[in-house]
This record gives sequence, C-alpha cells and structure tokens, in this order.
Amino acid sequence: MDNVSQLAKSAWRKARLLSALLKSLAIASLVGSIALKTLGGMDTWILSAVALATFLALFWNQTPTTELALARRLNRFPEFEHSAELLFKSPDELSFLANLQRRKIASLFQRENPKKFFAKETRQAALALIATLVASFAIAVAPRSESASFESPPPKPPSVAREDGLRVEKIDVQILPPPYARKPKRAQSSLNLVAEENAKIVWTATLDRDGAKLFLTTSSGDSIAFKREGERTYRAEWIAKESALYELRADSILLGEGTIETRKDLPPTISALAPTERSEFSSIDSATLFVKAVVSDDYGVARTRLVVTSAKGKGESVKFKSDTIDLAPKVKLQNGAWLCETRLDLNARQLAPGDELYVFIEAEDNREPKPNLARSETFVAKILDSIQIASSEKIAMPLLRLPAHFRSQRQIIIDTEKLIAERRALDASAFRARSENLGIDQKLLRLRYGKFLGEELATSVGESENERLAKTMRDTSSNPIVKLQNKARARMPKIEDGHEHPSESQKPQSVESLIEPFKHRHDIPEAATFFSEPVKRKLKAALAEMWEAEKFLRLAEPERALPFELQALQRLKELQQEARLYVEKSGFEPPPIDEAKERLSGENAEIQSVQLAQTRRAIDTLAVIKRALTILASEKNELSDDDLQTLEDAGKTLARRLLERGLKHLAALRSLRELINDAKAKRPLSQSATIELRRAFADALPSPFRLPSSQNARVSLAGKRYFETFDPKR
Amino acid sequence: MSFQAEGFQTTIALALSALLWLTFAVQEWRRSSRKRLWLRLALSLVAVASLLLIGLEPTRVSSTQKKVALLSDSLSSKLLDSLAQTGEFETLALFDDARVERIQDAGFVARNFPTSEICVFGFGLSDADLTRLCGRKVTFREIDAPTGIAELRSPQSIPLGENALVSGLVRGAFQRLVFKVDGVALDSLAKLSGETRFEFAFKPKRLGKHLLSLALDEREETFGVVVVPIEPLTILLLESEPTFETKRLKNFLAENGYRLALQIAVGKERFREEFWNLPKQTLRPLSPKTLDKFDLVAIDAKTLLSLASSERVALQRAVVEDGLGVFVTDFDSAFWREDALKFFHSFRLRAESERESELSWERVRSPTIELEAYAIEETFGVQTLMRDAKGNAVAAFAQKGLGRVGISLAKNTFRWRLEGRREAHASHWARLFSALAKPQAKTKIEVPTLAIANAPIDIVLQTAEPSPRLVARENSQTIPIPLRQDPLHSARWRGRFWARQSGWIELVANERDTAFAFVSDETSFESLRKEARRKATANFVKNNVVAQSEAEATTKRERDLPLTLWLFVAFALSMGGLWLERKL
Repeated sequence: MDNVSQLAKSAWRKARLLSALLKSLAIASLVGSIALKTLGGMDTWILSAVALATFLALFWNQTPTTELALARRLNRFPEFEHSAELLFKSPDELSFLANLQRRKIASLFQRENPKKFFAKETRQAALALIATLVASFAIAVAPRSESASFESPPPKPPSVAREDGLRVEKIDVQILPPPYARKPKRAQSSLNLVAEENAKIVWTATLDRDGAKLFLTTSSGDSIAFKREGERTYRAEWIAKESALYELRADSILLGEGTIETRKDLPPTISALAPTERSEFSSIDSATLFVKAVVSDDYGVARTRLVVTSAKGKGESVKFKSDTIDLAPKVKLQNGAWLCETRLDLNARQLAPGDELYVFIEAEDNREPKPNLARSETFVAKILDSIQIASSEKIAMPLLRLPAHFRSQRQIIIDTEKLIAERRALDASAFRARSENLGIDQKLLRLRYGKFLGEELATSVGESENERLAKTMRDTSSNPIVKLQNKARARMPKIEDGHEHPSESQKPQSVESLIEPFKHRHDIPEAATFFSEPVKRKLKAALAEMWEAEKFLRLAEPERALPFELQALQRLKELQQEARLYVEKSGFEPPPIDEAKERLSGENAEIQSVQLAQTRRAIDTLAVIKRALTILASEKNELSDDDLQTLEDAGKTLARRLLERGLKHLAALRSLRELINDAKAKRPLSQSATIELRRAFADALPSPFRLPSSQNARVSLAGKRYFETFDPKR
Repeated sequence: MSFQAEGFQTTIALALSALLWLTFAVQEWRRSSRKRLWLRLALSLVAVASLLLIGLEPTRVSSTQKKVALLSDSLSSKLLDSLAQTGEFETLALFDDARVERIQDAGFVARNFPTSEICVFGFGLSDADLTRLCGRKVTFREIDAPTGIAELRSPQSIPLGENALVSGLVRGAFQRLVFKVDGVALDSLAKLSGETRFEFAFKPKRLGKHLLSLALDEREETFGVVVVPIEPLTILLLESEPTFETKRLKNFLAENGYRLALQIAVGKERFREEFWNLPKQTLRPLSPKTLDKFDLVAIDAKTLLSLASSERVALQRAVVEDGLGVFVTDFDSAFWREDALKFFHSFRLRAESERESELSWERVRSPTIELEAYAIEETFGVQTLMRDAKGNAVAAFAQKGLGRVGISLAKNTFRWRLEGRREAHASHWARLFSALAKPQAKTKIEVPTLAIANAPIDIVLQTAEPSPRLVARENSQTIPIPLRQDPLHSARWRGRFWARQSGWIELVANERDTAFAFVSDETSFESLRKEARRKATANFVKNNVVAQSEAEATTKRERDLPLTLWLFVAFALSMGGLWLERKL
C-alpha cells in the first residue's frame, strides 16, 4: 500500500513539474518574442532563459505539496469517494472499515493510469503554451514600427513586388557597346547601369502576368514602351547618349528605378614631342622639320594627320597655302597610345628666306557617326633671311646702308649648296665648271670688299699712299659721322709694330705734303672708306675666309668651301653690327602735364551726362526646392494638390542637380515617389522618407551668402523728444 | 514661572489668599499659647501660598511652531522618513505623491503657515512660487543637480546668410548628443560625462521656421528658430572714375535686391548715373532730403574733396543727426591733408609694407587680398572691423554722433569674385556695410529660447510706438497680450502669455510686425527647467530679505504638573505641620 502513496506522490510531482514547465515555457516564449522585436541578438536568449527559470521556480513553489493537498486533489474524482486521505495513512492506524476502503481505492489507483488524475492541469498548461507560441510567432513576424532615427534608413533595393499582385519576376539588362568601341556586350540584373556613349541598352522584363503596359520613363522626359516579346516577357531598348535616372512603370504602378551613367567618348589626346614651338633655319637647303607625337584615345585613333600651312612673301603680299599629310602611326606604346613621326623638307615646299611654315597635328578617333577631333598646338618653322635688316624704333638715326653686294655672299652660299645637292645629277665636267664659276664669283666679291681696304692696289708694306690719302680725307672731313669716328679712333690705343717711326714733326715737309690735306681726291676708291680699324680687321678676316672658299671652289670641292663661305657671311653680318653707331635718342621730350589743371579741361559741350535706371534680380533656380522644404518642414498630415505639384517639380530639379553633381542622394528620389504615393492614397506620410528628402533638398541648396544689413537702432522715445524740443532748427 | 490665570483673576486670588492668611494669623494670635507662634504663622503662610499658586495654575511656555518642508520634486523614501522622524517639519508637496499632502502652489504655505520657516527640498521653486514667498524665511536644501541639458542658448531669429550658434551645457553621462535641424542630423557629440559644454553651428538655407532638436540618447527635445530675410539697404555710391571694384560690387548688390544709386564722373561735370532697383532721381547737389533716402554713402576721396561746402555740411549733418553711414574709398595724401575733411579722416595710419594677407573678423577668415601699405592705429574712438594676419587693424570706423565713418585698406576685392570666391566677397562687404549702415528703428519682439505650454512665456516688445498692441495667434485664435512699459526704457514693453498647446505661435505687434515662437510641450526640457528653478531658488534665498513680524513664533502654554505637585506637597506638609503642632 505504501507503494500506492508513493506512486501517487510521484505522479503528482511529475504532473506539477510538467505543468510548471509548460507554463514557464509559455511565458518565456512571449518574453523572447518581445525581446527579439525590440532588442534582438543575445538579449533575446538571455531574457528568455531568465524568464523560464524564474517562472519555473515560481510555478513550482506555488503548487502545494502536502499529502492533504494531494488527497484533496484526488477526491475531486468520484472514484475516490472522498477517501483519498486513507492512502497516506498507515493501515495500523485505520479501522477495519477504513482499511477496506483504503484497499479499494488503492486497487483503483493501481488499475488506472495515475497520470489520468493530473492530466487536466497538464492539459491546461499545454493549451496555454500553444496559445502563447502562436502569439509569440505573430509578434516576431510583425513589421517593425517606424521611428525617427537620426541614422538614415538603409537604401531600399529596387522593389519588385508591388500592389495589385503585379510583380516583376525577373529583369535582365544587356549593354551593347557601340561597334567601334570593340568591347563585348555585358549583362546584369541590377537596374543601375554604367554604359558607353551610344551603347544600346536592352531591358528584358518578365512579369507575373500578361496584359500589362510596361513603360520606361527617364528623367530627361523620354518614355519608351516595352514591346511584348513572348509570354509575360517584355523588351525595351534605349541608346545611351547622356546620364539619366529612369523608372519602370506598368500603368501607374512603379516597378523599379535605376540610374544610367553614360561615359562619354572623349576626343584623342596628342602629346607633341617634336618640334619645339618655334624653329628657325638659317639655310633653306638644310631645313628639315622633324615631327614626333604620341596620340592616344579611349577607344581608338582612326586617323592622324599633319596640317602644314606656308606663308610666303612679305608685308601685304603674304600668300598662304595649306596642305595635309597623313601621319601613320609607327609604334604602339604600352598604354595603347601610338607614336607618330615624320620629316618635313622645307626646301621641297619652295620656301624662301623670310617665309614661315605653320604646322599642327590633328587626330580623329573612331567614334561613330561623328568622330571626335583633337588638334595640337601650332609649331612655327621660319627660314631666316639674314639679308633683311631689322628696323628698330630704338635707333634714332638711320643705319649705315650696306651695299648690295653683301647679298652676293648669300647667293654664293645658296649656289654652293645647290651645287652640292645636284652633284649626283651632274657629270664631273659640268660640276667642275660650275664650281669654278662659283669660285670666280667669290673672287669678285672678295675683290669688291678688298677695295675698301685698298688691297689690290697695295704695292708696299705699311701704309700705302691711298691709305694716307684716305686718312687725310678722314681727318679733315666735315661729316659729323666721320668726326665721331675720328674721336673714337683717337681714344683707341695705338698698335705698336715694333718700329720706331719718326714723328710727324721730324719729317721733312715738302710742298706737296703741305697742300695735300687741302686737296680733294675723288678718284681713289680707298679714300671713300669710313671704317674704323676694328671694322677693317674684321673685313680682312672676312676676306681671308673668302680666299679659302674661293680656293676650294676652284678645286671643285664645294663641300669644303661651304663652311668658309658661311664663316665669311657670319663675319660680314658682324660687320653690320660693328658699323652701327649708337647715340643718345634726341627726340622731343614733352614737359610733365599738370594733371590736376589739365584733366577734365577739355571741351565737352556736346557730351551729355547719362542716367540709367534698371531693375535687376537674380533668378532663383532653386526656389521650388525651397518651397518643397517649407512644405516638408510644416509636417502636414495631408498634402494638397499644390503641395504635391511643388514636390514633383522639386524632384525634377533635384534629379537635374544629382546628374550634374553626382548621384549621392538617389534614395531621396525614391523617397519622394513613396511620399507622393502615400499622400495621394491618403496614407500617413513616412517619417523616414520625409527625413531622407529633407536631407537631399537641403544638400541641393547652396549655402546662402551673408548680405549687408542695417542694425537695430535703440529707440529712446524720451531722448527723441528731448532732441526735438531743444533743436532750434526743428 | 507663569500662570494660566491672568489679570483680575490673579488679583482676586491674591486678595482672597491674603484674607485667608490673615484669618489664620488672627486665629493663631488669639491662641493662648504663644509658643511656636512664628512657626505656625510661617506654616500657614506656606499653606495659603501653595494653595494660591495651585489655584493660579502654574504653566510652562514653549515654542512649538513646526517648519514647513516644501517638496518641489520627489524625494526618496529614506529622506521622507527622516523628515518625518525629526518631527520638526510639516511636509507638503507641489506634486502628487501618496506619501505626502499635495498643495497647489507655494501660496498655500504663505497663507496657512504665515510665520513658519520654509525649507524647500528638491530642485527648487518656480518664479511664481518664489514671488509668493517674498519676505519669508526660506532655506533651500538642494539635492543633486539635475542630469541632462542644463543650459541652452539659441537665437530666436536669425537673418538668412548668418551662422546660427546653439550652445549649452549637458550634465551627466550620456552616450550621444545629436543636433538636428528639421529632423536632419547635422552634428553630434559622443560619450559625454560630467559637465560637457557643446556648441553647434549651422547656416540655414531657406527662410521661415525651422525646428531644431537635441537628442540626448533616446530623449529628444525640440525648439524653434525663425530665419528672416535681410532688409536690403539703399546705398549711394559716388566715384570720380569708374573702377572694377564698383562694377562688381554694384552687380552683386543689385542682384540681391539692394537699391543702388551710382554717380560716376566721366568728364568735367559730366556723370554717368545708374539707378538699380530705384527710380531715377536727382542726386547732386547733395542735400538733407537726398541723403535721407539712403542708408549708406560710399564715396571716394576725390569726390569728397570736390564736394561743395554745402554738400559737405549736409553729409556731415546726415551722419551725425540721422545716423547715415559713410564709407570712404580710394583715399590719398591729399585727402588726409585737407582740413575741411577732418570729419571724415579721424583715423591715424601707420606705415606698413604693401602686402597680401588674409583678413579676419568675428569667426570668419577670408582668402588673401592686397592691402594698402598702412595699418590703422586703434586710437580712442576707432573701432576695428577687420584685422590682417598679424593682427593689425585694416578696416575700422569712427562713431560720429548717430552715424559712422569707415575706411578699409583692402584693395581689389573684386578679384575674389573673378576667382570664384563669391562668398568671401559677399561676407567682406556685408561686414563693412552692416557696420556702417544707418541703424533702423525696427520693432522687435523677443521671446525666450524655451517656451513651454501652460507655463508663463515672458515677451519683450521693443517699439517706438507710443501705445503698442501685441496679440498672439494660436490655433486660429487671436489672443491679446497686455503690455507693461519698462519704467527705465520707454521703448520696451513686457507682456506674459500662456500657450495652451505646443507648436508654433504667431505674435503680431501693431498689426504689422510679426514674430514666431515655438512652444514646447510640458514634458520638454525637464532638466533645463529644473536647473532654472534651482538657480532661481538659490538666488532668491541669497537675496531674500526676511520681514520682521510681531509674532516671531507662536508659543504654547501647558500645565506645569511637576510644579503643581510640589506645591501640593508643600501645602500638605504645611497643613500636616500645623496639625502636628497642635498635637504636640
């Protein structure tokens, strides 16, 4: 019999434990679902465990544990006939009748499943658990309520599930670059695209049902209708010419939004390595212009050419002629650029000394239909004209006019170069003949220059009679230039030749010598020279060079003669410089003007004062965004039609600014759409969308300038009355 | 010793006692035995005296008036218990608390406890409550300073283009303080502890009302600021020759709605006059009537020198009496030497090298600009507007009566516009012209930074109107606000308004001048309001003069039982002695 009481106690204990556990689990699940919603993470588990343990202990303690309580529990069942207490008493304590009853209920208890007597409690706890589990699940899956947070909500992915059951099941975007770009086509599923200029973009959308009219609307105003390709499949194409934002709509339902960033085809870049900006050639025969450049493009260079323009002539009779030469790329460089080079023979272009050649490089890329054009800077090549005398404003007096035969030296050089160039074309005798002729010309030129030095007439060492005469003429000349030269000569140190010369006073003076200075001798060429000693020395050196040149020309070696010819020319040019005399400018020096007296003293009777009146106001292109911000700041629950129109207009302005400045606040445009849809549907406006929009609009506005303003005056009525009373003039 | 009976009762009792003792004395005298007569007389005297005293009811006087513990905020149970245990306090609370009796305001204490000392516990009382306790003895037992936003300074309105500063103090440990404008977070501070000062600057980009908020961890407090447009100035520019500076300045000002009149000499007595946003009018000769229309005259030294004496006098008078501002440009040595222009050159210059330098003023630092080869000496009467990188004054003004005359050593500021630094150019001229322009006597409505619903909002109106009117518009209702003139400043008027609910209210003065104020709800800025109460109460206690009242404290009389008992013992002993003496 003791076994029965033990059994009963055991069964009750188990039932109590199970019931407490079930109830605790019910409460723990409820706590856990709330914690998951609000806190999340580890906190959910901790709180659930704590709740479980707490309530388990609570419920366990609550249940009474005494035998009396157990007996009362069992007595609820009619089978026990209100005599369950007998189970817990010792048979010795009981009367015969009591023992009989005890045996009866004990056998009943043993027959039945003990759990049956405690099932009700367990059942109730189980039902409570099921109910709370359902409630917990509902709480866990319920959408989170929106609350204003200073963190911006994460950007929403393009939505594909919309109202009325219309769904975009799949969307593919293909980008086909233009053929000339020679790039492979690309496919993606994201609606945000990066495309080359003139690339074809193909959208293929698969909807969940047929019959919808699908459109693609861009921020630039284009609207492209999708064409039905198959069952529930629609297709649209667009050529990317500029960046844009676009929306996919089916009737009025927004299915998705995206951006198209168009990468423009840039014109080629040209880096000119040669020539330098300005090139000068002293001789046409050796004038060769070397052109070298590196040309590159983002997709490919189609053509590179050299544009050559020659300018011939002087003054008003300059003639221009343009020519184009194709520059073939020679070497492909590592970065995909091409190295182009060529040589230009200026001589072949029939340029003369003094003429100029203007050269620039043009490159076209392979863009279609219209290629991009780039051009380099212009390079100038000039053939120097050494004979030309530059006139200068700074020199007040005219320069010494050089005789025409100076040009002969240049002509000789030209002819020599020509002869060298034609050497192969001529036979030996003709070559020799021409060379000798050139030698003769050189000699004649030498002789002409030599006349100034009296060379041909020199018969003795030292100063010749001609030289003496020349000197006398020089000393007694009334020409101011000559006088200046004499003075300069007098200042020069005398050249000692190692001989003692009797002084002029010691020499016996003949009658002839006495009257000599007063004679006019016009028949001696040397007497005509006005050159000083340094000039004469240079002239002698030039003559020496001419001697050498003549020698080699006569020997039919024009190549060896040419350097001497050039040297001679150089010396002659130097002589030009030597022959110049620089004197102080003797021009008119105006007296200083007394500005205060003279200014504004002119006749101005016919000049009238001018009066202009204008109204000017800067146009505020962002006024609509400011109005939109004011509407959003007012936190109205309902937006009127005017408010919605303002928001739409502000959205367009914002889109334009985004395209100009970068797509930073793209999510704001989606928020704007969401806000407008909510307002139209009379739903509460989304707080997060409003905040997103406000941020985007505020960022789009420029920072206003501080402007001048007047300060607030302190008003003192008493003070004002005081001054009014005592001011005699009021 | 004092007795309950007073006045005639005592007299009668004394008389009867005297009679009774005489009776005893006569009886004792008549007794044959004169033995121990004096003892008998003494014992009878003691008996009668003690009986008399018992009859007069000896009493003890004590001061039993309790102090009032006025709780402005909830206290801990421990503190309340200790208050109760002392037995000295009558505890009353200004809020609902089951443990303590609730009163409406401090007036209840003032009326019902006219002479008790009042001890304020908590964060302190509001101004209205403190006013009711004037002249009373009040002590303040502070509890810990409130945590949260303890100080807040924010402008009520700012002109467009100006930077606004919101500053204050946070007390306590918090994770984050976020500053938002119209719901958009602009700035924040993290990990605050102890006392943390904060300062947030922002530049509003549009006119109108803005809601600012400070979010301290989870709690967000909102207040408002209104951005008002700048009233454009009317400026007269007089030049002896066209300059690039004037051209750029003119374009910039005209585009922003400023009213400009320019007169540039293009020949002898030949001028080019331009009027921007102004009708054509006669400018010369300068007269008071002409100058009255302008807020500022910018004139170069040559033109100033060429002015007729009457024009010069008119200009001077306009500066001194009407507050006109004059900005002198392009000065040279002739300008400084001319005695007749002494009024306009109150500045002393010090030679410096010609240089390029940044300019600084207030919180602004400009890009570099060319400067003349001088610096302005900061003598008495000269106020500096801008300084160069070395701290030398390069722009200044001198106050002349109601107006100002100013100069600047910066050259060719139009360069900034050409370089795209339009803001620097605008800021520079705003600084100069704002300082010099004629002050305007505008009506100004001042509202405190913090306005709480159902709490008094003190409004100050500054106006030249002799009898101004002020109304508040709330929820399409117009509520007039009575005004009281300030006794010292006749143009200042004070009023008080109670807003019924939170939100924006419009205040309209004289049916034309408008201001807006944002009213926060009653639970807002609790820590700030506690701090305000704390400071106000501490200040009140410090400065309060306690009134001398006749009854410094009410006294309590109670029977002195011990004394009565002793008197009875004395009576009993003396009577027993008399009985015993007869037996002996």
